[in-house]
Amino acid sequence: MSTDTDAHLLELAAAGNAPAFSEFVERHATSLHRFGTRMCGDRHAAADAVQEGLLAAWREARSFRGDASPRTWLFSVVLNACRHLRRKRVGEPTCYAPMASAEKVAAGAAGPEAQARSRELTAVLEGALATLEPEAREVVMLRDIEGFSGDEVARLLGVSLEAMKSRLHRARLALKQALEARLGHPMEEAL
Amino acid sequence: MSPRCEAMLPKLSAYADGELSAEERAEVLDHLEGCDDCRRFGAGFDALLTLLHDDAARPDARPDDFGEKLRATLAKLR
Repeated sequence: MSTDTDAHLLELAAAGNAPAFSEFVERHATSLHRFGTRMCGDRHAAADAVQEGLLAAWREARSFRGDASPRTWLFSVVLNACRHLRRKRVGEPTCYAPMASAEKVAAGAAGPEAQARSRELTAVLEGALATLEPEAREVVMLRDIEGFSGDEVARLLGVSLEAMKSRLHRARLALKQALEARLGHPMEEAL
Repeated sequence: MSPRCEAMLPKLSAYADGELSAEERAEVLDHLEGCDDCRRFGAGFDALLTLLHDDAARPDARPDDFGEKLRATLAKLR
């Protein structure tokens, strides 16, 4: 992998350099997959939505003006693709498939107990996230898991910073409640 | 829940995100010190944020077909 910055890779991509675009995307593939899976409800739908988003990003690379970071811009395109897919699937039964391959997650954890705990928490978190309204899931995913700043999340969601903060707080409370219902005990005893 | 506790609840996110003024922060800490319910709730809120922040650091769990689809999509661009 080169030491090029995301901005430079995206600049090259805008000029038609496909390998530069591929490298830029690969850098963010893990978080795009995580985000897509949880926004779309299952990993197969996520793969389709992310591919759709990436093709749109490739076509629109020239429109990148540098107002946001390249990563924020990439997420905005994939977020739109996920929303588009969700709209198309309205009325279909929700088939939530946990994103994490248990073996892969386990392989990265320390001991057997830590592996089991990590698998359990990931599954519980994904199940709880799936019960949130899409707007709540988006804001928690972007702010608390993907680590975008408050300003970036507000920009991604197209709302004011104050509206984003208020939505985030409500979403966190709803997620805490959903997690506690699944865990069967208060959150403070979970970690 | 007392009116003071109800007033405290919306401040928890701002407190966790470091967005409160020194005065507001002191007010929250002062309340938490004397209120078991809110202290417990705050600890649960902290645990939630820790769980979420840690989630991004978990190992790459991309399924193989995701990588394949991604590579196939990117190959079309070349």
